[in-house]
Amino acid sequence: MRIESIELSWFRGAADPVALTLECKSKVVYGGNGSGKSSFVDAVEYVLNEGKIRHLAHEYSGKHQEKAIPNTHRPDGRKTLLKIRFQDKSDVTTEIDANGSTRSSGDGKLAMADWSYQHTILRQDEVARFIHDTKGEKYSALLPLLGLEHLEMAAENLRQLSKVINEEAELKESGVKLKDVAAKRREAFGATDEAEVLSRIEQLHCAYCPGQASTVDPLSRCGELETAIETRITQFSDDQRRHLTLLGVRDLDLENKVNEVRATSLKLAGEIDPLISAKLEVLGSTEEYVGKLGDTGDIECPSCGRPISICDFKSHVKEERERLLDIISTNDARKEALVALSDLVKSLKNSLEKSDVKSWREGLTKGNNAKNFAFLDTVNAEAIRSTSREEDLKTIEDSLLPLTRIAAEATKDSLPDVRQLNDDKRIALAGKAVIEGHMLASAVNRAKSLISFVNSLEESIRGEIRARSQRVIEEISAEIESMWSILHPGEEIENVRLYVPPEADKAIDIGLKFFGVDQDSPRLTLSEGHRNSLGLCIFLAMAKKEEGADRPLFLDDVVISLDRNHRGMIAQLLEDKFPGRQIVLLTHDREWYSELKARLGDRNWSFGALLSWDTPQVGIRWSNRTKTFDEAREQLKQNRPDSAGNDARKIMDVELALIAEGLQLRLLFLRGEKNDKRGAHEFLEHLIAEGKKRFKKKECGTYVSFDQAIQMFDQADRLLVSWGNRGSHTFDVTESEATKLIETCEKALQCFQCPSCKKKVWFAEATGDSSLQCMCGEIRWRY
Amino acid sequence: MPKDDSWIRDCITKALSGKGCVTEAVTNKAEVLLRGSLSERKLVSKELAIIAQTLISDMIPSEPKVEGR
Repeated sequence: MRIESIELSWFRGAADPVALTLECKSKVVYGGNGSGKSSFVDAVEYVLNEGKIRHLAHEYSGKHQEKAIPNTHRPDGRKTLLKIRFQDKSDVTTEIDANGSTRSSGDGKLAMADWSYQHTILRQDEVARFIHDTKGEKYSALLPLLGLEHLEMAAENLRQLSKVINEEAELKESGVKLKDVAAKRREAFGATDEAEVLSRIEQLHCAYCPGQASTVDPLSRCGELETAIETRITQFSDDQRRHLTLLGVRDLDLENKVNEVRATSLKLAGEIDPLISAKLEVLGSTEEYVGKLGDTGDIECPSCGRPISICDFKSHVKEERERLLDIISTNDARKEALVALSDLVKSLKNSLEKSDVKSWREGLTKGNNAKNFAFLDTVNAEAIRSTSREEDLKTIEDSLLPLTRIAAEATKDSLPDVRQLNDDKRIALAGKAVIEGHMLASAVNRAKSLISFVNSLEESIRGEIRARSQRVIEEISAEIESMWSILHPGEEIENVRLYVPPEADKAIDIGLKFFGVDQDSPRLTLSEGHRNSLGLCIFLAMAKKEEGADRPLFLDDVVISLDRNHRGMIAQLLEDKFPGRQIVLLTHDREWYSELKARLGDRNWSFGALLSWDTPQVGIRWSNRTKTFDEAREQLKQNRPDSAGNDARKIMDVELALIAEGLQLRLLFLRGEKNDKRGAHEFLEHLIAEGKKRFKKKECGTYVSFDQAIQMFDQADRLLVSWGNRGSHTFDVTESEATKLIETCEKALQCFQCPSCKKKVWFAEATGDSSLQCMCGEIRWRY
Repeated sequence: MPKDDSWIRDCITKALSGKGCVTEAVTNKAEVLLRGSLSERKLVSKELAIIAQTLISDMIPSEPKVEGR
């Protein structure tokens, strides 16, 4: 969508309403420093960035930049307004209050819906922005052009989904449970395989459930067995039940559990202490490292002092990561040991609080036993999960181990049937845990397979992103290379391209060949001017990539650091690469403005110059010096021959300055502003004098003096001196005089344009001669 | 502009390579999700949890159907 106009009132440098009228064409705007030309770009940015202008972001500009956006001298009762009109007659109008709050209206916002600041506006201080960006920022800048946001979104969601599946499937908790099951299995069945475990359960089922048809499902079989054993226990005598409970206490492996906690705690302490010391050393070295970055290019590894290579650095990071993972694993083991100890103390409490052992306990109420039972009754088993202090472990050992020992002592005279039932119960419970563990392991495996699939899917999508990025990057790189070669023909800086660094996701960098040597970054060798030139090529190449969008491009003073030769090529670049795109070029470089006017001055481009900015109350003003002969004729229709004659003179002042520039006409150097204020008469005098020997026209295959042109210059000069100046000073030019003046001036200027190929005489260098010529070579100027 | 979904099937096929235990229900669900919400916006943790639960249950192989004569 092209822009018709941008209108400002009391916005930034503007005072009373002033409009940048584009009429959907491209436009070059000339204005000296501070003339207010960037205010129009600010207006576009203000709308694009929801009321923010990046270069105004400052602690003093106010929350809504209200101290920077409205004209500082806006009179009471006047509004700060900006309005952008579009080709389709839609518009967006924004009114900004004194406090910075805004009200927008109009349907033009839709026209700008898919515009981004980054790909629409390039300002002087941002030309090399892309080059100085990090690889990640470069990637982000390019991403909208790659059209891969949806793939990026999918990959990122899958990355998160993988973590959520891990949590939802409780894989960590399941891992702990499976370890516990494995321990129970080893204890109850030794190194037997699954079939033997099931066979053992089957045997017990036959023994405890005689005559009961065995169910196929092993877990149900375990359930039946458990019920049968519990029923058998209820039929036991009090003595038998007491023995059974005490056998259970005997089998609790308290000593081992306490030792496991102690061992894991010791291991953890052994790993954490040196880790903290090492981390402190790294922090110290990092501070030194950061300090060195600012003042020397010789950076050494903060750990070992050797030069840093990416490979070593990666390996160091990997080692550190593995070390931390080991510690996490040890910490997990410690937590598991604490949970096991806590569960064991709970079992001990439950067993010794049973009525079955009440009489046994009553016989042990003296001395240390009483103290130990008192500890057992009051100990908070749950709290053990969060402690591993040695004194707590010692108390548990000293108080509870004697209880398990006296329980074991008391079971020495247990009857064989009670011992048998105790063993069978243990086997039945372990068998059930093994079968449940088998199901849990299957669920864990399924979850792990699912996570692996999701991870592979993410990786596969990232691969697709890389492949597609590569294709688009190659297209953009070819464009950058092509634009670079237009701006820098014959220079030994070639193969300028974007590339994806190896082993990197979401990263893009710029490479080039500098006098035959490959360089990974333009920052290594290019001058500031070349970097800016490259930055411009990259911006334009990216803009060209989205050419279908037909959004305008604003180039605000982007040639400041380019020398005259390179600057001159930009017009050709724009002509070649953006013939159908609306471009707004703003410049404070008068020479470049003149050159662009000469090069691009056709129906697709318009030109405008701003007057110097005077005061906040006066604001931005357009100069009326850049008129056309048609506009001068309009003055005649309105019966203003003086103005018509005056306009013709103004046109000649400006146009002849550009022509002199194009022809490299040597004029005497004048001091200060006088160089820029030469009049038409001075140019014509030189053109007549020089043109007699330099301006040629081809006749019958031979170049002869272009006498008709010289006569026309002479005629125009005479009329300008007599009537043009009268139009400015005495105001007594007649209509016929003004008409004659306009026609003669127009014809004089037409002499510089080839009647055959329609190109100006300075269009190209003639081969083998110090001459400029039109495209077909019919007219020539020897310089 | 037509929606670009051409990559989805290819990526799923590549991701499935060597992973025989992923059920058809999961791959079908993944395809539907990639055509929709997964590619459209950043999902919040609650939405991801619901998707995770569905996929976990879809990983349980369905009982083979016995065809009647």
